[in-house]
Amino acid sequence: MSTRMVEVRANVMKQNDLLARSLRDRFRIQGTFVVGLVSSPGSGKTAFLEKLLAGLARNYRVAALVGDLATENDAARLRRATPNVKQITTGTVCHLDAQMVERALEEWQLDQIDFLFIENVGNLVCPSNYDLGEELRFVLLSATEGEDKPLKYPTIFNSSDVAIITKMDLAEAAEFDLAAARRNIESVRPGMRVFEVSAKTGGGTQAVFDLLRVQLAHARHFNATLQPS
Amino acid sequence: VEAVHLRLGVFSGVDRDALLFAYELACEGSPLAGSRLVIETIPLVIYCECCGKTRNPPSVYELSCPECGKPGQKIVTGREIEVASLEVAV
Repeated sequence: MSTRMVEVRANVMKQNDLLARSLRDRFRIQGTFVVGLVSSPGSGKTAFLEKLLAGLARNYRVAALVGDLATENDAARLRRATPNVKQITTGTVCHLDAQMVERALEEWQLDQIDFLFIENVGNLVCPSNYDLGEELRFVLLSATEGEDKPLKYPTIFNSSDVAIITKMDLAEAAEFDLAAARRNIESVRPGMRVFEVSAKTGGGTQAVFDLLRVQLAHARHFNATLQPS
Repeated sequence: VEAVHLRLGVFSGVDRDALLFAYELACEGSPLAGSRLVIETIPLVIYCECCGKTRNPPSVYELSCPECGKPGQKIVTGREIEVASLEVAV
């Protein structure tokens, strides 16, 4: 029996990528600035997001999608800051994909939301391959995890736009080497912006608010120039 | 289908051995049952703005130019997860 070669040349992630692109277009048209959050489990994504939502809610309309394998605990915590929170329980899946995001958005009116945060499942491997249509991706690294995380998980750091070092209030106790952490981040993602925060004390969060405020203004200005008047 | 040829970048986040291990199980009961998975590993290549050339960084942990040492932000290859071709019985 002979065989024949059939050329395929298909990107395995194509379906997700196409859907993510259409989501990104929708977000831009509706004027919603979308930020994805990725990190390992327990690095403080939810605590940090709670601070972000509470701070931004004073001046903006904010919403959050939060992914977990099970439980509604994170959504309940975030609802203290805003009622616009939806939990995506993935069951056994270790990451969010664009389709889960699209489904979760069904009942929401995007033009009523300025900032949408998408908190991924705590995992530093698989989420790096799934574009969710976000405008910016934050990768969180806690001071208690150690400064070599970027070297252990280079793909997730490289797929992200901004690094947030969390739990800085514990840095001294954990003997966290901040300079080494910054070096390692720069090594796997040259030019990446790095912020140091503590969700407990609120330290450093102002700089992140400022970044988001500027980014939203830029995005809206830029998108306005794209749309025919 | 006799074989599936996959192009897999070293910076794709997909582990070659884990994928090969899972492949047989995943194919059971499908037209791919009994087929081989042939993986072509694609190296990490970055573009060095400073030298104006594509370069192979020292490792996936150091995205810098081996010649001038400058960090390289542009990834040229290494992220692929692509089905290149199928070998089908005729």
